[in-house]
Amino acid sequence: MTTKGHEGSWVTIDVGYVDPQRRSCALCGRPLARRIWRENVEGHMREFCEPAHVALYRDYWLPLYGAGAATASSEPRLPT
Amino acid sequence: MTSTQSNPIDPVTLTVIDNFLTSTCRDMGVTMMKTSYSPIFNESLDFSCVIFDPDGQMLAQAEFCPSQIGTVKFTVTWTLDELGLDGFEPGDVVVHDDPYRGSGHVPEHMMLKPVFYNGKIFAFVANVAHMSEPGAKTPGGLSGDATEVFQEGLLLPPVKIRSRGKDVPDIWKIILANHRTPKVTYGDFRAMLASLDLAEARIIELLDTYGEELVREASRQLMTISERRMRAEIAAIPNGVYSFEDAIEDDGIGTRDFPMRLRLSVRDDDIIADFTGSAPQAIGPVNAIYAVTASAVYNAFLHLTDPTIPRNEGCYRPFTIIAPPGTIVNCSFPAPVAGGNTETSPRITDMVFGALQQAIPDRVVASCGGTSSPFLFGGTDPRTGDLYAHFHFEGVGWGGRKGADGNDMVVTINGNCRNTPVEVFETRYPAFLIDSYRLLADSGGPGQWRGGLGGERVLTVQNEVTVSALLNRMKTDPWGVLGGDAGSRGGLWFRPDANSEWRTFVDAFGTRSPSKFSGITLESGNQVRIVMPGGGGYGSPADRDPALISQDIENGFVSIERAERDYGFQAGMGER
Ligand SMILES: [Zn+2]
Repeated sequence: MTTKGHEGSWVTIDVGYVDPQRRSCALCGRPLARRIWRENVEGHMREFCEPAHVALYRDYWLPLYGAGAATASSEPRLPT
Repeated sequence: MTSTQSNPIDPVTLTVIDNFLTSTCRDMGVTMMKTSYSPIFNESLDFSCVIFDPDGQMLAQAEFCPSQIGTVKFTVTWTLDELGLDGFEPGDVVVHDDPYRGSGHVPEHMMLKPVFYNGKIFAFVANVAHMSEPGAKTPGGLSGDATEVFQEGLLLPPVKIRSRGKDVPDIWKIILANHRTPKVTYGDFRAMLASLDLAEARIIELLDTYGEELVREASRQLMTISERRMRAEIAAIPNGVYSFEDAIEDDGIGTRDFPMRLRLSVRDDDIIADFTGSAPQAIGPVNAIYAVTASAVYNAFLHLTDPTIPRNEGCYRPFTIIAPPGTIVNCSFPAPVAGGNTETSPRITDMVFGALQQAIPDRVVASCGGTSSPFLFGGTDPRTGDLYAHFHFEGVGWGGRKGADGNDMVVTINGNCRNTPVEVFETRYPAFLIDSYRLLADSGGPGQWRGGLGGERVLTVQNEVTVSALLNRMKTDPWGVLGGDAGSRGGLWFRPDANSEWRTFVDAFGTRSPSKFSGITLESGNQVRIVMPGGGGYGSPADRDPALISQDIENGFVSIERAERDYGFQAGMGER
């Protein structure tokens, strides 16, 4: 998948067996395993399953529901 | 051979490679069918077989269980992401069933094996199969009143059950110690392993014949072709936003319904299936995980589009599924999920048809009976002293569609499974004798094209047995489309003996739900009656050809009274 034109970056988190992190894509809600796309959208750092979902978050989600109604990990925990 | 990115491979070679990969998946399934121990494998075929590339892109699948074929995409990608490619060595096999790591529900175990070629991973072969006994709180799992995923079976994150070609005894010991039927699990696991070994050998044979570069490039081009063809199908649907709402009735714990809302956007050649606004997750086991919801949407579109499109990753690329976490369509840990994969999944697939009835009226189908009718049972076999467990499911009526009545008593749209023959059922399990098993007249929703018939099964207990259930469509209708009427609802009944009145399980045993409960002990002579819902009708009943109504009456599918009431039928109308 392309990352061209995106300001964010891929982040790899540890898989914790004692304290498993359960995170999901801010657009689609898909649970995220280790690789997470992090990008600042309108002043908020969001986590996505793929860069393409950043565009949909902007073009589809925000106009329809607004930033206050984030589907998923509205304020993500920072990677450990 | 150098990269052929700009050189399309000739269609004959592409077709040969595509068919080779697909037939490899089919042969994997035949291997499991022929070598497994449990009827859910060798009779019901409740499994799926797939091939992936190292990037987690699906290269091929065979026509087994639709709910698994979509879900396994997420199970495999999670596994590859969690373990990393460095985590695999030749001969390794990973087993995995954790729904919060992408498995459909706990009984469905995935096994995954890397295929090495020239020292590098070329592909992964995988199968996913429903184990008849997952080590849940009651025999067979799918406990209808579970409140946590921990009650639904032994959770396995992706772990190696075989390492460098050798069994990992500690993992086998843990799993077999937690399943009530270790011999059956052992046999079914061996069948899954044999299926993977066969697929690995086949892929190496393909690479020896055509070379690594060509097969890799052919796979890429096949995915591109599938994506292009799927996008062309979507582009033919009028752009717009189409909505539909349905509900799952109770969760085994409370009595309220759980509405599900779909906002389906067709945007040129893209689809967004947005479930925002669906009910918060249930306490009981009717929650779908994200992968199940996504899989149910894919399933609908695979039904609506050209079946000759090669079934690989490309088919799925045009779809975005939005399912807010913490809801019935994407529940959060540790909610129970067993029925999400058997009950909520077909409801979601039907909702896509419901949403699109105005956009593509000639292609949609009315609601099917929409329940797998999971009826689980287990006990001790007096012949051997061994424990046994079985996941029994039933067919339902399917919805009518333009040009055809719905299928009668076929396993619901997410399953594609076969029923277990009466003789096998009675021979393998000492629990029940089957007194009757039949289609039910008047159960198909009236319409220009009638809904398929539901049915009824009456069982008599032979030896003490523990039963559980997780059924739906007992309180809500299998709806019709475009003026068609609803099919009949299902039911589940008990009576102490053949001379008593039928009662609900709520009346007889004080269960919270009439359709979802677990761990009820039945005694010899007790009877159970399972009623399977019919399918919804398509188009107005007034438009049905009187000759077809006549035929339905003659076949005993529709009674004269209902023909008169539902269709305005009068004697002599259907004579040719
Ligand atoms: Zn996403």
